Amino acid sequence: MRRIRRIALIGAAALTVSAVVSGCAGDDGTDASGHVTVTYMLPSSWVGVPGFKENVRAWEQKTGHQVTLAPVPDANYDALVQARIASKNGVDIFAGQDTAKDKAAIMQPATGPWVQRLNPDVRKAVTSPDGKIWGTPSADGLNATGVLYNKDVFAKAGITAPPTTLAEFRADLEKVKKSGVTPLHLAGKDGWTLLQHRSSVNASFIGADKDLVAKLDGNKVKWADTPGFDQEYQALSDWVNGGLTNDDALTSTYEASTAALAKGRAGAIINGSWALGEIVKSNADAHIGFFLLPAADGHNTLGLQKPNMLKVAKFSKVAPQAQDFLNFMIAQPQAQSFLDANPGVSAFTDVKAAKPSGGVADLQKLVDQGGSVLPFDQQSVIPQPQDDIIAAYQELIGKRADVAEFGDRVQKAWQSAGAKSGAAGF
Amino acid sequence: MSLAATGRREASPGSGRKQGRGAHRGDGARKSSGRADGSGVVRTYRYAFLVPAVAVFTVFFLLPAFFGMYLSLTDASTFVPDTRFIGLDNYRLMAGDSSVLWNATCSQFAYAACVTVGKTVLGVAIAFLLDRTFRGARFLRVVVYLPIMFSTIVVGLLFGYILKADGPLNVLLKPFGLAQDWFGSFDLALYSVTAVDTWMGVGWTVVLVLAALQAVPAELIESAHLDGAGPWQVARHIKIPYIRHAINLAALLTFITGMKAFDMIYATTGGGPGTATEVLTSYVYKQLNTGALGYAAAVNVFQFLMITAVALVINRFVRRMEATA
Repeated sequence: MRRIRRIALIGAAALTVSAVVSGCAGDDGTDASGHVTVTYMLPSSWVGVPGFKENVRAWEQKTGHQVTLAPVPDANYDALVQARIASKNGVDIFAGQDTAKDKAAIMQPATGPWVQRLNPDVRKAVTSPDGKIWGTPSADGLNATGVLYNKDVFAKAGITAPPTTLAEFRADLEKVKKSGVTPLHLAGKDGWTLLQHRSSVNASFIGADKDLVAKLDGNKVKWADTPGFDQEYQALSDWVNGGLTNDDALTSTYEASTAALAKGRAGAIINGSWALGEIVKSNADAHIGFFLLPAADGHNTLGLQKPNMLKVAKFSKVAPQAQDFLNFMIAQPQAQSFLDANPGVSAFTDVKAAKPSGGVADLQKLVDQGGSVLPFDQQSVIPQPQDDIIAAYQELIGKRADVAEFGDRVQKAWQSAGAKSGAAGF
Repeated sequence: MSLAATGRREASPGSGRKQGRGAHRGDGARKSSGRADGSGVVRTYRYAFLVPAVAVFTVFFLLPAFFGMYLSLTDASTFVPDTRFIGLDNYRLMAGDSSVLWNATCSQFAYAACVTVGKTVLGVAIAFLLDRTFRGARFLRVVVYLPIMFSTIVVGLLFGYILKADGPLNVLLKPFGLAQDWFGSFDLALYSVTAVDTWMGVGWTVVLVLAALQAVPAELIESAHLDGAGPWQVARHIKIPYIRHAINLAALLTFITGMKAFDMIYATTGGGPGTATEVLTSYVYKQLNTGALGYAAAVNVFQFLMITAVALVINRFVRRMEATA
């Protein structure tokens, strides 16, 4: 009995202490000294990126506030963010949720001095039709899809300049083959890599017809009716049938493709500029260049992805501090130091990589030329049936389907995805 | 009537024990009332024992199943916070995707049939081998069961390496002209995955059949030997009929597992190349990737009904076979 009483007393004391301690924190999330703690939920893979934590600590030192980094495994990130948003607790800053239909219900529109520093194409891409910007861009480099090629392999094969037409590209691949190297490495087991071909092709389609996304989203045109569709996919099919790709195109992986390119066992891969980091890991001395996949009509367009947009939660009690933190992270000095640690193409006009590698320099040149478009997947409101499209790609490069059948399969997958999402017109 | 009688018979000893404890305390009044209430208590506490199991089953199995069925009648999506009741629209959409669904259903049946035949035939054969007494039999039993304890993903990655175009198996087979792109071939991929699944799961059938084999009465085998039966005749006419129930059970459960197979396919081919290894479960997974929760739930309901129907048919067939045997 005495023991029970003692336990009850200890419990009551603990409750009292915790009530007193929590009472010290204000309703606005401040502690006794007026400082706040900002909870930043981020994918695990971002935490170890060079230069990131240094900038976080710099803001903490400058303001006295704290940032709690809450890393979440990348695969579960979106689901866990949604759970925290639903419970309106445990997160002040998050990434993703770009497809949320009612953004105002879960996040706050962002603004800051960085808006004027944004590359005009990027500013246009991140500004929603109502004029608001839902999120603050991160300091990461911008990415685009295209052809990453080994400059030494191309030079050895006698190729002096990147191709600008599909015919030239085919001729270049033939030259690389003659030099004894696999011209184009496809990584069909990691199906997402095949989608980078689609992303490259779609950018040129959008460049030629700015209303294309709206037309496809409204089911007003068929994919196969898009000008250039047949030529682009026939070219891919011809490269495979002509022995210009690797024999294990269906079972090769992303890592195998980047390693093959880095070590000169392959002349080119079609992927995003993010692969440059992976290539450097395989061979730091590799000379890699980047060019856009030639378009059927010779006029290709850069599909420049939006930077990662970081959102301040609608329910955050420390929203001003959270926004200040995000603004600090992309102020010129911090953005520059981040880019120095992670060479790439910045979303900001006043931030440039000091010594860009070949691929980064090529992409920077394309970005500086202007005229880029937002990739199809980031414009479309239809949930992309990626797995079905990957399957169609695998059948095309596995010689089980011709271009007409490929077009049919893509169209069926598109119709089905549109109907399932309840989009008008499907 | 008989149940009630049984209930009364079961109640008596329990109430007697309670009465005995009461008598020991010298509580005469409670002793008499204990006898009167005891049968009622016993009648209810029998059900009380069921409560934890029923609660667990309800919370973890029944409720999610009913929730899944409800989801299949909605437009639930990970992209839209609101969920609307849309009746049978998801099932109509399934009809629109009938060719894809049909392909996935056929592949699922082919997969289930292959692993059932593979695991049952191999499992029975290995069980017969391990039923014999020889040096290293115990070690072999462990070795056969070992793969089940590995993670499916690890096994998938391991075989991805062994079976790749320039992998160790093809290095061995190349001189004989038998090298193949095991997971990359549209015609071979499904069978390659079932072979890996069989390798991994055959130990379970072995354990089940071996346990049944060891329960075959020794005197039965001895008399067969005395009657001049050889090992093959003993196996065919004594052991197999005796362990038929275990073989049937193993085959039925393997088939049902095959009809739900996903992890091995995901770990080895991811449903590819193309749709060569796409089964219903991987199809559901793909739908979940597009955020269409309602549609994915509808396909799951379809799969559940199909498995139930097939299992019932097989079960009836097996029972009839056992009855006539």
